[in-house]
Amino acid sequence: MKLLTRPEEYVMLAIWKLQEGAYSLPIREQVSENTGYTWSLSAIYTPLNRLSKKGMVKSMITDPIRVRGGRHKRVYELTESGKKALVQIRTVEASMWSGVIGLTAQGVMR
Amino acid sequence: MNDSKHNNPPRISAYFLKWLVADHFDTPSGDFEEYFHEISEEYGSRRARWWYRGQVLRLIPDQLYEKVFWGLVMLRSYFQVGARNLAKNKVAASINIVGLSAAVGSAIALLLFVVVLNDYDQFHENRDQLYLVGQTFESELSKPDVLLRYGTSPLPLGPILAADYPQIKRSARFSTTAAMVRSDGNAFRERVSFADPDFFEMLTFPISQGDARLEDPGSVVISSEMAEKYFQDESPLGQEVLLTFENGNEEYLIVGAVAEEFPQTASLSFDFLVGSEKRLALGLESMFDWGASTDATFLQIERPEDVPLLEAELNRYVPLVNEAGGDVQIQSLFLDSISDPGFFSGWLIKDRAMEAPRPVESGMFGILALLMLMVSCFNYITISLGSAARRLKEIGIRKTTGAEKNQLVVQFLTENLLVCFIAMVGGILFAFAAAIPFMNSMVVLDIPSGYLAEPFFWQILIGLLAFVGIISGSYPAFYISSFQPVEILRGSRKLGEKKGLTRALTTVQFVLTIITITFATFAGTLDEKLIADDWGYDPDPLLVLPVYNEVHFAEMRNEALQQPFVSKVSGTYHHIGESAGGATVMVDAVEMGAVYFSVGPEYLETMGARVSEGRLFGDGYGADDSTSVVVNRTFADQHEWEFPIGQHLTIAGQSFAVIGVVEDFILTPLSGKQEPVVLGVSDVSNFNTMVVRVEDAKLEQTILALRTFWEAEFPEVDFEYYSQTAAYGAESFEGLGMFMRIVGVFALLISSMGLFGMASQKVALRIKEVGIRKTMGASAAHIIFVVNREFLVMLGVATLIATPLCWIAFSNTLLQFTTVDIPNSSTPYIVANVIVFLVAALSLSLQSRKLVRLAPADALRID
Repeated sequence: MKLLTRPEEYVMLAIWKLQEGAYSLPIREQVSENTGYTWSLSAIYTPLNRLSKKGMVKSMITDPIRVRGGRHKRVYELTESGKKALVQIRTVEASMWSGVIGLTAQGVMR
Repeated sequence: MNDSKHNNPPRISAYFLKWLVADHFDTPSGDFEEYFHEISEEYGSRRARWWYRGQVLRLIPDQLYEKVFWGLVMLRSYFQVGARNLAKNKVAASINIVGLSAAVGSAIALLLFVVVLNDYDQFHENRDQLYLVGQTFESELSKPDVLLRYGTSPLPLGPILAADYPQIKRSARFSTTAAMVRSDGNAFRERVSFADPDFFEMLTFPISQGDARLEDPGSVVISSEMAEKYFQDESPLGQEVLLTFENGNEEYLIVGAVAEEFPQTASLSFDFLVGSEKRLALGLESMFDWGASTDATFLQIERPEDVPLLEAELNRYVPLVNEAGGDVQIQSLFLDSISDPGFFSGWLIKDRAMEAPRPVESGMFGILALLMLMVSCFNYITISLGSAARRLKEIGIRKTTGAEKNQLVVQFLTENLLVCFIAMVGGILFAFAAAIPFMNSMVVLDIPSGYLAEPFFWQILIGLLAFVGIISGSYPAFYISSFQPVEILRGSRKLGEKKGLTRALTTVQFVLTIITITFATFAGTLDEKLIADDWGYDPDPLLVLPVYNEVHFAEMRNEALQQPFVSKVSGTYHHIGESAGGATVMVDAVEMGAVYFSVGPEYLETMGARVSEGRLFGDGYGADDSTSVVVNRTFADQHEWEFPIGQHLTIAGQSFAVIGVVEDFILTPLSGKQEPVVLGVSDVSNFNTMVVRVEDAKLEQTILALRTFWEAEFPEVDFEYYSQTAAYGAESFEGLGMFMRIVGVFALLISSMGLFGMASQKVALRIKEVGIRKTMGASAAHIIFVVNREFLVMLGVATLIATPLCWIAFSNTLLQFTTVDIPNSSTPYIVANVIVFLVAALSLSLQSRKLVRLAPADALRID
């Protein structure tokens, strides 16, 4: 199985964390908060579209909302294969990181 | 920041965003707007607007990629659906494609024809700066106020103008005469032309060998054709040729240069070209004789703004010309542009050295091409509308599943373009594999293959594709795609509900068909109209042979007279149909122009000219009749002679006695009879043509005998002959007439296919109705009447519209531009209407038969 890209992984994690009401704006906020720099909306749409095509996320359209100029929003949630992919990537990450010494959250220790 | 405008996202960016993300527009726009308001509240709208713009900018690369990607996917889908539809509606599709191909092919051929007609002599690189000097005369005949424009000009004018006016960069005169040319035992009568040294600087006639030096009196420039004819494999350069002019003067010249092959669009060209000064050898006294004229005077004027000025100045030379005692007083001099001879006026200039555009032919072919395209477009529109009826469900379902109107429009336009593209390819194949070779084989005109490489040709093609595709495709596309899905799927929407509109369309189709066929019939029978039934002499069976010298003539005459079926033989210099001269004839101190024929003594008798009064020339050569002339009836009538015989007239200072009057005869196949003609006797040494009167049906035998004799006696010269009727009769127009008739048949074919397709669709829509009528007891006759009534009414209306339209068009435009009086006869109109009626009746009756034989149960069964 092909691994996810970093943006895809982050976007999916953000959707999972948000649970209800995960649409582009909060996802962007979440990702920006966690990564520490501002993501553009475009940078969120692209992985979202790609994930939709891959079947990792599914989306639903809400009713039109006034504050959005009478437009709906598209709310995302993870599919089963999406969740599996996340689990897999976590396993891969863990095994990649195991045995790595000296690179810690506090900095390079060697 | 309370300004309400500023509380909204920036408008241009918003539109751009909408375009960018059109397919899934709502979500991103919503996101953008929501966040815009958040920022706006927190940081003010100014910052929010900038944020908005920035975000839109960042969207571009990804979204553009998506757009192109999905665009291509959709395009593939459009083509797929289109191709499947074509495969499904094979009848409609093949009618469309075949009809359009035929129309496009014919249109290409016709348009190329028009292009060639108007492209004569446009290959000269300096054409924009080149002008011909022309002169005007008062018309002696019928219309006294009208000035006749001539392309000829006074001989000394060119060099004098160039010397007097610095605005004129160069000038060159050009004239052509005939002379015997001998070299190495070859002897032929050829065109010999005279030109000033600047001729090659001004006009683009590239030299392939040698060096063209017209200022060298001992040198001659020859065409590549002549080089081949006289010298075959030898190098022509340095060869000696002997020119014998008609007055007996001889000139030995050395071939100094050979010109490249002339373009097919060269109407002015030369075979043997020598310097202008050589005209003195022709008996011209001085090159500054204002009474003499030249075939053409070319001026090169670099600045177009100088042209009107120079044209005004030209008239200062008019008195000079007239004082010199020219035969006829000229009224004015004018300049005539080579690049722009005037589409409607150029052809009126008589004796123009270069071919002028021909508005009648161009107009006729152009209109015909356009008409055929229009007819096939209308066929296409009605047929596509009809076949779309079967696709109503498809449209409804596509709409409900989210297809937008413009997607459907694109879908239908793509299908149209697909059909048109196939038709275009078919049309090109048709044009180049069939139509153009056919036209060329008919010797109508050679279409140079070089046009294929010209960008304008492809521009025409792409223009045609767009024209046909968009004209024929857009109406069905927009009409069909605007249906409401609910109406379609509920079944309340049936195509053809707009009765008025479809009726109008059908009527227009009928009108166009009638016009096209009228036009084609008119053009196709033009040859018959142009050629008078009575030529004024007996052209059949008459053999015409070129002879190149006295020996040829004497020996061939003897041989011919020994043939059992030959009754009369004569030599001549001018020959009716082929050549004629002009003369200024003075009778009782009144000068008048006339056509002059210099003929052999027995010529008129051999030609079968009909004597009206007096006698023809005697049998004896020369002596008796050297001061006699025969005139035609028109000439005698113009001078109001009660007793023409014995009247005297003066030509070029020499007095002649009229010994006979012949009935008017046609000069060329296209000219009228009413021209004054004077015939005088030519010396046997000037004969270039021999006419032989052969007894009917023995033509082939006689030709064979003469050919055998010629080939034994004069092996160095090819035997040539033609029959008078073949050369100047309807047969000579057979090519053109045949071509027009074939185009007419094509137009008919295209329109009848359209009628057939339309009839079948109309009938298909009425199957249920007919089923009900049948169960209610309607008779076959009644059903045929009911179904066809509508068509008959439309056909009647179309006839009433089309016929007067054609009549007005013909009599007000086309017929105004011909020199020949063409009767606006009713035949084409009747033919066209009858043909259209028959074709419509045939296709309707085929369809009606289907209805009459229909079992009502089949029609009414719910499927």
